[in-house]
Amino acid sequence: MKSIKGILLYCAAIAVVVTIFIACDPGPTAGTFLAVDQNQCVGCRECVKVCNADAIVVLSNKAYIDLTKCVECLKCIEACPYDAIE
Amino acid sequence: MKQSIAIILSFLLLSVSFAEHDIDIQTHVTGGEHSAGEGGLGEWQGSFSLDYSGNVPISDNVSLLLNQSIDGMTEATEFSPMREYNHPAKSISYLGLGFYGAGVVQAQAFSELFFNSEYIGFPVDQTFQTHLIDASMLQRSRNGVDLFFEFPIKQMLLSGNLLYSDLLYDYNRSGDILLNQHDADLWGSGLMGVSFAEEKVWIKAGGLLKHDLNEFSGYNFSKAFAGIESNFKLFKKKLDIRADLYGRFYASTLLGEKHNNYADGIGFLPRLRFYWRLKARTYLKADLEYEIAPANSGDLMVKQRYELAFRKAWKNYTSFEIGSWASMGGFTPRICMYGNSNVHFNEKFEMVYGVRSYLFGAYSKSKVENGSSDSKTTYIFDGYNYYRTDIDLMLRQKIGLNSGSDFMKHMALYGGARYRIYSPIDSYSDLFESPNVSTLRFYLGVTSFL
Repeated sequence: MKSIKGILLYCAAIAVVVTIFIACDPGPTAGTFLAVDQNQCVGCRECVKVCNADAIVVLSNKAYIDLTKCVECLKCIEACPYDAIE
Repeated sequence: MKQSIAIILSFLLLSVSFAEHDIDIQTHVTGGEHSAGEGGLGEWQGSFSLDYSGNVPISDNVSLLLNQSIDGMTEATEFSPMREYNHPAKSISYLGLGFYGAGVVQAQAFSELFFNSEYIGFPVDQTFQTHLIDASMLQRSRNGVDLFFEFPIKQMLLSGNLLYSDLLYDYNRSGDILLNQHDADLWGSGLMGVSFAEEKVWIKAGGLLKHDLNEFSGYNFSKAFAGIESNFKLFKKKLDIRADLYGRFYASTLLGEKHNNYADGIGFLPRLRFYWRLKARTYLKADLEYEIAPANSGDLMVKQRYELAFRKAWKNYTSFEIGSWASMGGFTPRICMYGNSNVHFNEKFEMVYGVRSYLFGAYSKSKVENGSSDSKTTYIFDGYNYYRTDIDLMLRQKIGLNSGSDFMKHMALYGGARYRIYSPIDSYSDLFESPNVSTLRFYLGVTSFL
């Protein structure tokens, strides 16, 4: 029973998060180009491998996208196993 | 509109190992189908790769670092089933020295050579809308130097990375070809930290810069940051709280980064994480991250990420977790829900199953993965993924199926086979190819730790 309560509690918490998420829509001020979430990135270089434009460098195990080279093919989003590119 | 299917053949692998040296040679033959014109009969593609990595001790504190890989692929033309491969063959070499003592210093020179490359067109963003112009680039080589150092000294941390690279390319715009163009960049990052209260509190400062060394000097940018990180355990260590707050100053001379909507100035990055042990082997995790920074529009740009996860494990290592995260304010706002399970039958057999699903207007991807393993010897997996985005024409709706098996014996002999279908399920533009791709790949390797 405690497990069921825990799951219900968890689902309720998710609902709260989603509600906050939708309510806090920042609108048009959102970023317009790709960026790497440095907290999620582990420097695995999967994005570097698929980047056709040599637009990604890894420094101290964190990836950075050079937007002057990026051609927005978005392959890095697909390739990232840690959902760090958005 | 054509199609054809191709399928696959063979493989060969040889691996030779010396003390701490590994060599893998792999060959693959890949088949694909595409709709590249009348009479298309599909495409056969062969590929191989050879990788070598070595760490050769010269003395107690110095090692010679060697890395070499050569990859090749046939038929990697503009009609390639895998459009991302525009270099039919390439060689990547790293050579350097590593110094190990109170810290680590690694200095390496690298060279990437692209053979028989094709000109490839690329989209150029001018008015925040992606479109094609009649321009293409042929990349020839990329050379540079990579210097990394890290010194953890008691309650202090000092690390940094310098990277110099020079890309040699030819540029074709409307038939006007410019040969041997250079694009040289210098990247640098550094971090310094001091800890207090038995490493429960860290104060850190650092920076990141990119300096363009040739005519594109307007493409420079720099970031500096300073912040505090803290980690505390409360309620008899049942609740682990991590709280970080960073302030950062951002400056750019240009264009590229400013398209990202970052204006010069000071931003803040607060982060909170809770890790709560409800009872033995039962955990609840909550994560909140924000980035608040001035935007080009004059408003504040607010990036947010929330994550909540529940994990339950048992004594026999069986576990399951469910979680969800949501992000917004970036290029692809998303909500992701995921679940993972690991059923541990005994020491030799376990099954894992994972599901991920992304939701939100412009971007969605669902993925199901399933695998079972006979501890360290066999791993059988299958998976499904569906990908859809409205962000950019470059990415189409597609569906993928994966299946295969890997094996490993005594951590020395490994190999496997995998089959993959990747197929578009819509037609979006005449400007881009929309190939179906199916591949079958075999591989085998030997590693020695003698």
